[in-house]
Amino acid sequence: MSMNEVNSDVAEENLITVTGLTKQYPEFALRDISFQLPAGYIMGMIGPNGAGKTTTIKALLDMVRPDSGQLTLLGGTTPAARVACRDDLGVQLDGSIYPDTWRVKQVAAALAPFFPQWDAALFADLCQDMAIPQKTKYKDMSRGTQVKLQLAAALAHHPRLLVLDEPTAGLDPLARDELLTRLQDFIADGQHSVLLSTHLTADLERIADYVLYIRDGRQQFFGHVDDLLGAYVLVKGGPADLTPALQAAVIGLRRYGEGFTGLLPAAAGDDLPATVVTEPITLEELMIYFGRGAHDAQRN
Amino acid sequence: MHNAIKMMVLDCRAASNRNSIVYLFLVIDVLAVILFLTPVGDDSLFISFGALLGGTAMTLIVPFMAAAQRGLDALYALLPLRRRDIVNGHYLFGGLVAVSMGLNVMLLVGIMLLLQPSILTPEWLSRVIRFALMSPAMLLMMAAVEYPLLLRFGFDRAPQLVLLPLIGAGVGTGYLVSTGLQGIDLVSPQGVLAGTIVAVVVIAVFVVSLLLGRRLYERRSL
Amino acid sequence: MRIVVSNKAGQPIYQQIEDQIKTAILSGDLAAGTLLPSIRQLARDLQISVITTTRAYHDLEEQGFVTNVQGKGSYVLGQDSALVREHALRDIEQYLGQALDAAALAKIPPAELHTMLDTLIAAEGGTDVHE
Repeated sequence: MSMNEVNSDVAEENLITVTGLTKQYPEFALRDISFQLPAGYIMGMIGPNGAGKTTTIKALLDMVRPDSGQLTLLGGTTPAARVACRDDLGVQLDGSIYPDTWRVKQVAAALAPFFPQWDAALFADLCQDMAIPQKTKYKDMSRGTQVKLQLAAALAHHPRLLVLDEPTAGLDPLARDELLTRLQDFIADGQHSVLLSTHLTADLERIADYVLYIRDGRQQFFGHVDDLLGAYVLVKGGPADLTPALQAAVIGLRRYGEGFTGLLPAAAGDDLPATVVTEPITLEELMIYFGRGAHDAQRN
Repeated sequence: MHNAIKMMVLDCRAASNRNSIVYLFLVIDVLAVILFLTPVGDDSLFISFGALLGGTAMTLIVPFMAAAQRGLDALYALLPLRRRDIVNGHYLFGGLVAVSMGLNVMLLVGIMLLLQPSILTPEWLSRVIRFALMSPAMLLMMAAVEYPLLLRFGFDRAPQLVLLPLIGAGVGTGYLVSTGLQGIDLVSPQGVLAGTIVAVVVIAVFVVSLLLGRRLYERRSL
Repeated sequence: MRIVVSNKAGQPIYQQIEDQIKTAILSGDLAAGTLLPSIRQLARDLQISVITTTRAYHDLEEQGFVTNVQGKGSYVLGQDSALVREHALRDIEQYLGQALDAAALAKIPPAELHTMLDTLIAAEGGTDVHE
């Protein structure tokens, strides 16, 4: 069954379209990133630290100029057009973005004039819901609270699209779960979308519809999470099971005295001897095995 | 223009908590008035110029210091502002600081005249006008030299590189304006002409710097 | 209706949803004409992705368990008894196949299997294939 079929009866509007995004730095290059995010879905961007997730987000926000490639954000294809639709865009960035001495009140006072749809009551509710202390200066807040404050500000002007860079990194498990529920509520009407980057994939695995996997500035996969997870299986077996053919096919092979583990394309997992165990994978395992595979390739 | 004003207000918010210019003016003004009532007399006005200039010059770059330390360029990038709006706002902030300095000098002179009307002589007036003209001119020139550098590199990249031109521009402008106006009676028609020329030159340089700043910030990676 | 999804079941989540809705329909828990929760509602409730839920609903529609009415949602279709029987037979075949595999592994002769099945049927009172 193809997913295109499922969605074919609904005219889909893409809130983000990226085609061939490329940006060269002295020691790093982002190459040929392409993806689309339709209205009503959650998309996760995964990959190790330094893979290019933040650079991709910065390009979307026109904080860096791409060397080549097309970006469409909320219909805006030029930097000026993208800036014009900022009211419909809520952003949380990784790292500090407010002056040290600002408290909740100052953040609201500073941002409200810029967003015609700023909802002071909603902002107050969000701050209360997320237990953001009113009297604490921004610099004295924990990393998690700083992220929450940015999230509250991002949601407070009723955006259509949320772009979040590592929103779960500083949050405790309960706050992470609350955030994910909030994001699902956000997209529930089918008109709103979320793009978030993370290297903590466990939460993402369930709620994300699409995933973009980047490693070393290169796009490894873009598509439905289920398809990515269905494309590989985890194989485990004893030392004798590791035939040369299998060894050549396995990604990120780890050998130990009593056996081996590794990743295998799902199709290749069908005709294995019964003694080899195959298991479904998680996004985290996928990143670990692919990462190990890349390291091994470098060493050889 | 509307966006530039909103941006300027944001600069004030970012700067005021670190080093409130109002607070600074108040402290120096009070000290100047106290000194004025001591045997130092009306020289206190000219002493306080130095302190005011130094403090105000620092205020000029406070938004950039705050931006570098707390990633405010990222905040600006999330707002519905074009990059040129952001630059316009910074320059407007610089202009506001310079004008505040001029207004504060007038306020100080007004207080002194109220306290002791007898100090008002033609020479004294000429001297006061020279300073009142010179201080905003110095501040605008400092901003004109400094802002493009800050917009291109950011304060974190090269604080020393930023401070030297700042002082240089201030001292240079002060020297040029004061020697240029030396011996000219500023209350005469000739003096008004000289003052206008200074003002026009300074504003022209400031505007050229603004255009340069816009170009530089447009290309910067944030 | 009861739907429980497990991350550790080793079975894709859309499959789990499909199976549980099918079971509810076949056992009569979900009567014909019942409106299922909307895709987005169910995704939110189960904290799973919209596309996963869409896939489950789509499969159910393809297999004739539900019908999607544009703008209204998915309704349970009446299952004629022949179809119910066919599904039951397919399940039984699958489970018996597993039993045979286990028997082969332990080298248990067919006669013993027959006895075992007879005993089980007697114990259960001969009803309730589905739990």
